[in-house]
Amino acid sequence: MSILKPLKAWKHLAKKPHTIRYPAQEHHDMEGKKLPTDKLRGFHSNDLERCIGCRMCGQICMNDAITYEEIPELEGKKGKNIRPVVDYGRCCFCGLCTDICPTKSLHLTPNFKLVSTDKHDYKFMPTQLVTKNEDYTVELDKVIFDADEYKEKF
Amino acid sequence: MKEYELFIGPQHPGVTGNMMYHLWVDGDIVTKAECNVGYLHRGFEKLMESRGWMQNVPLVCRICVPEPDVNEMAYAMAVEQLMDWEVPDRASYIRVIVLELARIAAYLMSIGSYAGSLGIYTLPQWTLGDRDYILDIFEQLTGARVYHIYIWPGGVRWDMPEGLPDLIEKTLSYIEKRLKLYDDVFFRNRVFFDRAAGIGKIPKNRAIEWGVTGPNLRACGYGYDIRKLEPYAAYGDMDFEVVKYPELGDFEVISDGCDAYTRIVVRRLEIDQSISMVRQALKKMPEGEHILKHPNWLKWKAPAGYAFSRVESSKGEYGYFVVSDGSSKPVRIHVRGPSYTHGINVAETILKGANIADVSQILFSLDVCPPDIER
Repeated sequence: MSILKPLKAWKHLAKKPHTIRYPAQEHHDMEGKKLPTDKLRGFHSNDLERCIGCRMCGQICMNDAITYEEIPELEGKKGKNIRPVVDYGRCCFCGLCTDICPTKSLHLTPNFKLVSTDKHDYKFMPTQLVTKNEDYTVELDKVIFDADEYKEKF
Repeated sequence: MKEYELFIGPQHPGVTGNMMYHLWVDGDIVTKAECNVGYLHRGFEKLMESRGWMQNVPLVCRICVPEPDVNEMAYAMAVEQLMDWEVPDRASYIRVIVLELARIAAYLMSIGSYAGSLGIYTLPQWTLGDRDYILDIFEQLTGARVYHIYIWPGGVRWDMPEGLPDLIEKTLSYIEKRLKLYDDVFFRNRVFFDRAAGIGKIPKNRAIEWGVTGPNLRACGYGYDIRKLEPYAAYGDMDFEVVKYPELGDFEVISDGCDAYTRIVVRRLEIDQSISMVRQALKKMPEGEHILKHPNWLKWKAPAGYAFSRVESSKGEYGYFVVSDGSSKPVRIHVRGPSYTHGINVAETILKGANIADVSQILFSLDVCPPDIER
């Protein structure tokens, strides 16, 4: 053992930290690819036109996170006029509902940022509005996690 | 001196999660220890009886938080036994890659927290940071960072994406480089030698009787590893030696084994072994299907009978006993977790006579996972 060995630690002073300034800084993997990728299981997106209201997603959901709401405008179209409403307080993002979906209208998107002080905001009907966008934020009327606001602070 | 009581946990840096050790102390010597759990009970075994065969998959991974994949694997193996399914070769190799990456991540976490219990706080920062690079791989492979829900009965959920093997290789080389640094800072550190050697000894002749498994048993000198004894997934094709005391490679053998020092060094050596296994699996992975066709999930009925499967996790041996009466739900699922024996029987016995300052390092060296005790 060398007496100079502890001095090795000094070289770490010049190194960049592991941590990132979330959410102002983007998260990248080792190869520099931006994360999350499209594979991440976040909030649902549902194509209301393609969905036939078959209730399969609600039956496979073991957390009872999926309930249904009637949409009168869809009356007369193919299938039933009910569409899934997801309670994100219960959802565990396993994605069984999307795998069982016969029309493949239900998807999981890489959106995962949703901040609210009201618990009712976590229960909403996934539509195509809730889809992938640049900042991966959920586009809802009430709840938008504003990454720009945070970026200014840093 | 008068005896007094001491509570370690449930929210304490010296206990790995929501559990408590109730200690009776004379001076600074522990005279009696009692494990007190109950903060994390979620009733998984009962819950699984009311859910379908496929609905249980997202549930089982929650039984062990640091290394969830072994539970998915053991459950999938048990269901495959019931259904009499043969898993495609490609799926077996992808399973090895996932399980070994998860093992590396779990070992990094346990080694880091152990070093923290000795007061070397640099290592937990480094290991947790490096573990995150493995979680990045999981995110791209499975769609989630911690609870992957990826190993399904009959194969794996998705095929390996293109380009991911390169990322895995890059991450493994990075971790190998970092391990050398860990060795300098921690594994060849005087503090580690002086404090860990001979502490928290499990008597060698009692280890099997007490139900010790995994790295803790291998540190006692028994070459017991399910991956070698009863190869599952593609472990039969992997070339590896079981790490056990006293064959500690480049590391010094400074005690008689069975102690905290040997347990941690065995874990360190198994990281090397896992890295080599992931590389072998990536090299030998054949082309083909990644999953068998499932029956309709809502009407899936497994044939009546029972199945037992066991896998080697970073904590020890996991066993799943699954009983089916031919209906769409299991009648009974029993989980045999390694932490139950390590955290309760073994810890309570070996803590007797230990110093208060050594209690947390003994507990971390056993690598106890409270969610697995309570289930």
